[in-house]
Amino acid sequence: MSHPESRTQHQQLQSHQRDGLSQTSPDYHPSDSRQDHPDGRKLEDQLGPAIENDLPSQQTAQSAAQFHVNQAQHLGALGVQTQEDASSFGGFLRGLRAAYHTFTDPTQRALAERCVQLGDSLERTQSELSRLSRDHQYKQDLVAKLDDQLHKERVTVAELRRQLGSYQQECEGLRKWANGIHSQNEEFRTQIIDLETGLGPTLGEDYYQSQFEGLKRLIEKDIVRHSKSNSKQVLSDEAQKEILEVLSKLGEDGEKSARFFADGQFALRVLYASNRWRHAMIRHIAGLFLLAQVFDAFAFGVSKELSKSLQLVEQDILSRGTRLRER
Amino acid sequence: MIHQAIGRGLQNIQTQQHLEVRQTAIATELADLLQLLLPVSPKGEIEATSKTMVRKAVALKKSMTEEHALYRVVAVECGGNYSEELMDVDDDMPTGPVFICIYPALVRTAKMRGKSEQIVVSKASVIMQSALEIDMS
Repeated sequence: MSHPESRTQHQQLQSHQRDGLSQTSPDYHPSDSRQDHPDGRKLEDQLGPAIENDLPSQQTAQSAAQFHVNQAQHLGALGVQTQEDASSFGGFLRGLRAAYHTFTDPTQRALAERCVQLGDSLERTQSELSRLSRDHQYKQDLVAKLDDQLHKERVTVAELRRQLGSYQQECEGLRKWANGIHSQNEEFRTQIIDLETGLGPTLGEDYYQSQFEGLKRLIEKDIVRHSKSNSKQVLSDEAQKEILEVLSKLGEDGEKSARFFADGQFALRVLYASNRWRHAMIRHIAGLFLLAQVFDAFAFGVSKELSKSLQLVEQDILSRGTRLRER
Repeated sequence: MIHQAIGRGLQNIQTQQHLEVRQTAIATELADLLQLLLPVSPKGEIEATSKTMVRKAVALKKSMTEEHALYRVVAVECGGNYSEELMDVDDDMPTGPVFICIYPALVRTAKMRGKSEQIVVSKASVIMQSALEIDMS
């Protein structure tokens, strides 16, 4: 805070102080030599002890107070612009504060009191100003530092964003590539399995439909032809019994049919007498026979026991497979 | 695929001779049964008819066993309820229970939305009891 200009002002102030002592307060005689100290000692040092030392004499005190009033007038004229000035002014105020009650003249006393109040106020304001100035400077430094830091962070964030965009593009590309590879892999797997096992659809549904209905037409044609040639025949009890016995051995469906045609109005012998029902009944029996002996087995030629076991295994695998897929 | 794999495995271990013997035995059984029902018909013709029927049926069954899809032959019970989806009938207005199934149905098992469903490939031929009553009266 030691500014050349302020130093000049301080020297001027000291000069005025000295002038003030000599011109406005001729009765004032400081008891020590500090007043003329060559290095320009502060006003506080110059005046404070002088006032305190001279207080025993009321005359001296009034002179000192008058001196301070004069000094205040000088200071007011010059203005207090530096810390050093303010410090000197503080010493002066202390002296005035100690002596203003000694003034007998009410006007001078009021003036001195007012001067003290203004001085106090000024001191507080200067102190607050100094504190706020320091705080302001600290905060300015902090803001500059944070600005710098913010700028650096922004640069970093921009770079990271650029990198993120680049990585996202790369990731998307890799994901597409992986999906393509996955699909291709599945395709290859299926092809490998098909090549190794030869599994897969072999014949279409139309083929099975035409073959199955072809068999139906064959049975119908041959049975009706033979049945017509047997139109005058009567089915004997023994023949009925034997036929029902064979029927009952053709699985569950055969057993039911055997019971159904055993007696009553639907008895074999009764139906056999009518051409229409004879044809139908013989076709029914032929169909049941082929179903039981050929179609019902898991595969043609395997025993009933093995066929049953394989069908159970197949059903079990299918049902478990379904559950797994549902999960 | 499971059915196909097991079916092919079984057919690989079965000998052709064994299959032919079995096929002949079944044809003979059918011929004997038909002879009881058709006593006047010549035995040779009945045997030939039976042989053809069994041969065709066995060939179809062999194809079904090796097939990827599951085919099943289904008979309709005498006295059972009528089902338009499964049965084919001559009557325009079929009423009452089924009298007789003169030929079974062929269905295919398919997986749809995780569930097994039966698709009718060929309907069963049936005669309704109502037709019988009209005819008998």
